[in-house]
Amino acid sequence: MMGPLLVTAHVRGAFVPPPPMLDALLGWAVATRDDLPPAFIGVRDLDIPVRLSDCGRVYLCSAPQWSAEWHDKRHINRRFPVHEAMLLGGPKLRRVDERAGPQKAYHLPQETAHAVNDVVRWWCVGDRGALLELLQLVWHLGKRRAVGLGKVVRWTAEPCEPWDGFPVLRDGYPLRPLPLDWPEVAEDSDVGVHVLRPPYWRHHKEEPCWTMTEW
Amino acid sequence: MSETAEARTEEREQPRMFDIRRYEFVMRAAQPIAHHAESIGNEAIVMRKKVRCKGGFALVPIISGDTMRHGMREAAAYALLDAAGLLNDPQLTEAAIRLLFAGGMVTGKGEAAVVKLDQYREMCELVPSMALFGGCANNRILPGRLTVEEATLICEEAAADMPPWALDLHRKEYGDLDGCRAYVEEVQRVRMDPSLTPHVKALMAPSEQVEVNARLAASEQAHDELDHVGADKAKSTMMPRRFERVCQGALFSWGTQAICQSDLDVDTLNVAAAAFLARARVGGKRGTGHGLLVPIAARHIELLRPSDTSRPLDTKALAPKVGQLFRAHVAERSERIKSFLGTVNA
Repeated sequence: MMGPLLVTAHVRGAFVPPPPMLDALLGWAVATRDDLPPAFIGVRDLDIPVRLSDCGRVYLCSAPQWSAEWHDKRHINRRFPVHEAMLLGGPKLRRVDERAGPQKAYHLPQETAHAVNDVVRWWCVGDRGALLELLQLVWHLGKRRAVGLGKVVRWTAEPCEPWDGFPVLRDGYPLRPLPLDWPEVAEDSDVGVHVLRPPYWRHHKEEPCWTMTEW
Repeated sequence: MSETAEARTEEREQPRMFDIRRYEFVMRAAQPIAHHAESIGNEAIVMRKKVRCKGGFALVPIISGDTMRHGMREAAAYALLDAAGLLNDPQLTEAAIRLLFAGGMVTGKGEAAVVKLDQYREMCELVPSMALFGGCANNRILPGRLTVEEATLICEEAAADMPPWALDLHRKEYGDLDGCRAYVEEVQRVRMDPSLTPHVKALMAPSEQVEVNARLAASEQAHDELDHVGADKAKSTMMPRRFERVCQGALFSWGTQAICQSDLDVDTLNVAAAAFLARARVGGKRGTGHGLLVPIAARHIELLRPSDTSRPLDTKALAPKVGQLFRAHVAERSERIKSFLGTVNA
């Protein structure tokens, strides 16, 4: 049973901003649950418990609603395994150059943030039970989750009162990237270039669209 | 369809398991931990993270998730090479070393837009740890199913994030929790200049000894004359430096979690965890008595099960028992693994 929902992730600790879109998270959960190989994701639509818009171009869910209480910086260090190369390398492996080329070492800065009250929220029209079941598979949010950033301790999804344009418009302003012909968008809304449906990393699918002011 | 491809298709048609495995550990620093984030001046600063606690935020010492994950990946790689018999005569290519020990990289070689699913499945079959850890091979990023958390110092500031059983253990063994500053000590070490030691100097060529003596004389003279530029030019290579370290005996709470879709996945996860924990060393200065972590208690929690309970896991018994399936699987495919590692683009 689809209905208006407020979905909340209770996060513990820092995460790499921005948090992902809800439809992207659910798509990832479906792909993980069904053990879909990487090629399938994005080739066909995944069955997620969030309603598609009538035009079929976007899922009816907002972008993540959050604000940062504290920003921080950490580094990603990447070094070629020199010790192992010395120990296990064959005769063809004759030199290691850490300054350039494929063996180059990196020390890359990465921004992290703590959300106010440690919560990230999304509005959506969806099936509460199915949505919560899938979200149990999402225990970390955002980039660098494989090394423990963005830990989610709890998911909640509560029915809420919809408003005009719910959940993608509020007072005429977009709460997520929307096609330029979307009705009732305030004229002074920002225009940007984004992907409209998951997976959002398919940059060749980017198109001009209405977008949120902060983006 | 080839026999191997047919067999793989049949394998995929069998019902798959879906098991979320979470292991939680309490680890004791059997030696001081010198895991540093940066250097300020000539002092190395311990790696910390911001933790929300009563009254604001605190900086709590951690061992980063990257370090712990790399330790597991490295342990799994050695286990694979050992089981495939490749440690006796290692002839790995640069790409194979990068794939096994650092997860590989996008090389730009090959056609990333075309994904050969059979090739992907074969890679996961030949290198079981790839399916868990993920990585990048043949110019394509493969998502992993393993999350490795930071090992966080068990202290007052981080208590809210700790598993209750870990806090109970700390209270039982050590009493009440201290603030994180109590666990960090600051020490100084000095790299000596061997030319200042008389019996070492006696080993030098006469002309070199003359040069060293002249430098010492110049240094003394500059010091007497308050000539800072001259003193700097004639200074010895002796280098005092300071560093922070987490004290010996400190306890860390650590967790790792994976989605396992076969018994082999479970065994691979166990091999990686057990092999890493058998000789877990983290941070720097390992050559001078730093970095040894010893697991003292663990909980194996099977999530998404009706009981959803935790039970103690005997960490000492884990190592000898696990890995039978993993070793048999790898040994059976050792020739194919060798051939794969010889040609992989990663």
